[in-house]
Amino acid sequence: MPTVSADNLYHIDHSSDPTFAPGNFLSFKPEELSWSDKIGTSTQDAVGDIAYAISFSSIDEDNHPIVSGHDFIGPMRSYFRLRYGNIVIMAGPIVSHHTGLGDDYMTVAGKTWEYVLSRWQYPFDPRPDHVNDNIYPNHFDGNEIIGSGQPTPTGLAYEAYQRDLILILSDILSESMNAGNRIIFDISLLATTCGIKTNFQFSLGDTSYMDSVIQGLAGVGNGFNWWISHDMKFYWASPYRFGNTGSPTIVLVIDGSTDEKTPDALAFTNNGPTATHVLGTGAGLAAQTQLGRAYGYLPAQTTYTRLDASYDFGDVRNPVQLVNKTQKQLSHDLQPQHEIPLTIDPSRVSGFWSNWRKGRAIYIDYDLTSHRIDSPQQLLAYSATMDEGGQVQVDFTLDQIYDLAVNAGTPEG
Amino acid sequence: MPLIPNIGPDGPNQQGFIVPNITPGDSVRVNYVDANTPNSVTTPTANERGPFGDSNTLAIITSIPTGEIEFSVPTGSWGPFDDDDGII
Repeated sequence: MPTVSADNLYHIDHSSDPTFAPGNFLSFKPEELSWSDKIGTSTQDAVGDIAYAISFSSIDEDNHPIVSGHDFIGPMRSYFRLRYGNIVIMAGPIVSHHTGLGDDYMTVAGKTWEYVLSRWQYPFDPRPDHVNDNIYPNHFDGNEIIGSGQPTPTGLAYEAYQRDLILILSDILSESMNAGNRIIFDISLLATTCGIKTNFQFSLGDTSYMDSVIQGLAGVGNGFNWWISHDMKFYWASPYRFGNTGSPTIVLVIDGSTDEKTPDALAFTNNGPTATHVLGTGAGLAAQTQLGRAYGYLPAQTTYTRLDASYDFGDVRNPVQLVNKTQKQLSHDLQPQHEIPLTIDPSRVSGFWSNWRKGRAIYIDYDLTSHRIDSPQQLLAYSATMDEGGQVQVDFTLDQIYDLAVNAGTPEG
Repeated sequence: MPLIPNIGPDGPNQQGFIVPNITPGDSVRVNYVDANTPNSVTTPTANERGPFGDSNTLAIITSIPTGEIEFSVPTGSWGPFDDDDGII
């Protein structure tokens, strides 16, 4: 049985048990290791990817051959876990493996648990006498635990009025997990509310995948970040994992004052604002119509001139929601769009893998002569590669944190 | 210990309440008004709302500009407490 300890080395665990119970997994040092991960938002899923190679002659940490026979692992029935000593960086299903004639190694690819949601639809049994098997019988009013409103209208599986986003997510996800033979995620954290309420309908037989349903909900109002931890617990944080934009929780200030606060590479590109006027469109309320709202911000238009952008927000039928989404988009687009690539060697930063979790925030205070970066940044995504010497470099995609108002701008044509 | 009324749960824009008799550096316990029962003040249960919701967690007053207060929160974010550090 492999020993898990804080040895500051990278290990891969393999198991047919998604919980990686002690004694149920084997461990080895991977070759050609690279991986990436990202936080879930309204515009990106939270799926991380990993790829590594295994030589046919390699042995695991219990001195047994890793490649123990034909199909010793299989996609979607075997699971990987990447850890740095006793800190799990990511885990999830193996999604493919590959080898070729004459090769003395195989390559393995995996994805994090969130990937499973992109393979799940809300259950639906189309046999006439079973059509209603998976509907919530009654309409939900507000945050009540059991729907007490009118019977759910024909053709819908679920309907809610002014219900908290997280409770809606919990309702849809728990019914999807009821389908049987699913991987069971711990959704106990979805019993807490975020305070953002919306009206919501889900059609019977809707073939949307769960990841897109979650992304849709994550974009309502101030929205939320979401991810699934290595131990299959569904997490969310509203509006962001780092807290709110006015007082973000900072993991580390990168200012060059010490070795661990000095990045290996840092750059800055300013692409200017995306737009100073935004048209948002939603769905139609009647045949041949479409909901639309346009907002602009005069002070920005005075400086940058009027620059237009338009966004299709999809199935939005509520004017208040559409206005909210349009103004939120405008407040984002008004800001100069900065690209700040950051490269870090994690071995130089204490507690790197337990602190620098996806979606958390860092602060960068660096003078690059033509520009001084002096702002908080969300760790939106990262990619990491390990070289032959076992050294890892991490490249971050950062999203500058602006203290935005969601009521930005005024209506204009 | 003073209470800041009306913090959450309706999103992050909850700064800017006049609270008498506090000065920068003071600690405050943050309670919130339950959206379902206006005019009530509820003490959140532990971990119910992260650093705000944990009734043992304090917000620290950082400054009091005219007419409003600003406070900082030690750790975490809105929503359940972010304890996902990967350590096993």
